Amino acid sequence: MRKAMRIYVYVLAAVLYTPILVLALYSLSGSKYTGIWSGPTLKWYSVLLEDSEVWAALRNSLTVALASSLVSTLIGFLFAYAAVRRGFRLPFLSVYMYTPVVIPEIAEAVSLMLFFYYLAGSGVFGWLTVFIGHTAFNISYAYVTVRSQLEMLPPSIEDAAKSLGAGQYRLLRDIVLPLSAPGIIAAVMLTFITSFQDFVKTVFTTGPGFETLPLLVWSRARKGAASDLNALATLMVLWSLTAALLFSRKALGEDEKQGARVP
Amino acid sequence: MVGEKQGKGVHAVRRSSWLLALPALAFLGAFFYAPFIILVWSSLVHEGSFTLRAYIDVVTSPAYLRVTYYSALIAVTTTLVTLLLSYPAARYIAFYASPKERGVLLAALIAPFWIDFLLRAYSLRVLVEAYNNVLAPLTGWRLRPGFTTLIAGMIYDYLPYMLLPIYAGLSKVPRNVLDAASTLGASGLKRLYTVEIPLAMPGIIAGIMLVSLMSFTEFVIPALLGGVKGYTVGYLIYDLFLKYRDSWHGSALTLVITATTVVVAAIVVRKLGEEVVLG
Repeated sequence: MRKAMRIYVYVLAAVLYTPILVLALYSLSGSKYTGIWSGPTLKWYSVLLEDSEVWAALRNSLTVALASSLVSTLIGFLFAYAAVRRGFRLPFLSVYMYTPVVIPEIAEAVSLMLFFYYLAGSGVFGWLTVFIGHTAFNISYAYVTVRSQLEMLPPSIEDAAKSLGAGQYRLLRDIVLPLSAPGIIAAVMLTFITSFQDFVKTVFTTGPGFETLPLLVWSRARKGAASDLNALATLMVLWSLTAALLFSRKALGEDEKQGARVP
Repeated sequence: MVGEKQGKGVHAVRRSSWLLALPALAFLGAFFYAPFIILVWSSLVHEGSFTLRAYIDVVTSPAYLRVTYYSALIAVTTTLVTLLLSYPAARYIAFYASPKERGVLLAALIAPFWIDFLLRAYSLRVLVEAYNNVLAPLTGWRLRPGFTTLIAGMIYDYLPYMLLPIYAGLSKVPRNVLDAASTLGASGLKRLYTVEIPLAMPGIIAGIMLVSLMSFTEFVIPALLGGVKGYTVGYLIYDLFLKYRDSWHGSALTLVITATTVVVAAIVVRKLGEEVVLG
């Protein structure tokens, strides 16, 4: 029984990776049509390098994800600090903060689209609306991530700094910020990846001429599989797996350190 | 005097904590809650007058109902199949794998979770086309986008969302309780049904919730793998807003779906909360 279960787990893992491996394999095929093999060749990767649409989409994805992750982590951190350390309380506060995570993303996306449309007309859609849309859900994720880090810090350190005369600003800058750095970095990484990969929110809040990488993949994938798209998708998969590895390494490493510090 | 000074101190702390909390409250208020009010307004007002017509259409018209049934069918199928596929895998990782193997397997099964839905759905589409070009001439059976490919895509994308909560639930089941059940003479199957599954229930319910609610509004996978018949609620909302420009019905449908989701989630969370407290 145990052996059968073990075999099953490994088969399941292999099945999960098969489509990705086939995708990567066909990105190396010289034929334009998926399933007809010739090669191996890197020619579709060089086609990508010369595709100005891909470069523009990459730039858009990176700038939106960077801005959104930094802004949402800052806002989420300030809020978490107020909630954990300053005893900031309001009725229904956690409902207020967690609802964006629970609501189906498509509902959030269409309501934001209508909001921008009625507020500023159809000309407003572009970088700013996509950035606002991403930040609106990233704040909740950043808050949850930073909050758990802040809750692990012993308040005695801050009390000591306070009784030694540190002002509120100094306390935040020299004590709280460095000590909660692991949580802040985790929040930046998590929100960056969420924003970089987001499709649903982006497709409703973007405007003509503003395309991110997921939107580009979407519009091309609807026309069917193509070799240059296989190359692009392979690169994006590799980037996701690298990010996953970095993130889990980081999370695991921090766990061990925490364990060592607080016996 | 002392009381007055303390009172002032508390007041100052309150004011500065308001300042710290304000950006988050204001941002979510402006860009999450205010848009929802617009959504409600857009579903109720048509050509300048207040009407519930869009809601009536959405919950009574056969065209909408057919799409809703189809989405529910897909969500239920996806949930059941991912549950059956995940449970034995999560069980092996939680109970039998050595700590090192557990880490490797968890990482391997969770890593696809980080690859976006869109990319995973596309890679499956590449697999389907590769099969049709390479193996179909040998088997004489071509895969066409439709219910089967759609369900395959859903399972592929949602499996990690089921596996992780079930694993978390199983890993909290105390091993000595299971051993005690065996010592007292429970057969393997009886132990599974009367001890193990009830103890792992919070994790199982969390997985069922995540997968059923998320897959119900999915529209990327149906669009890429569902073929012409693969029309789901999420896809319909997308078309109503971006293709037909009918934000009136689109808003009503979105709100009906959201309300259903929230009510189901609230009921399950409440029940789950009670179970955790009682257990």
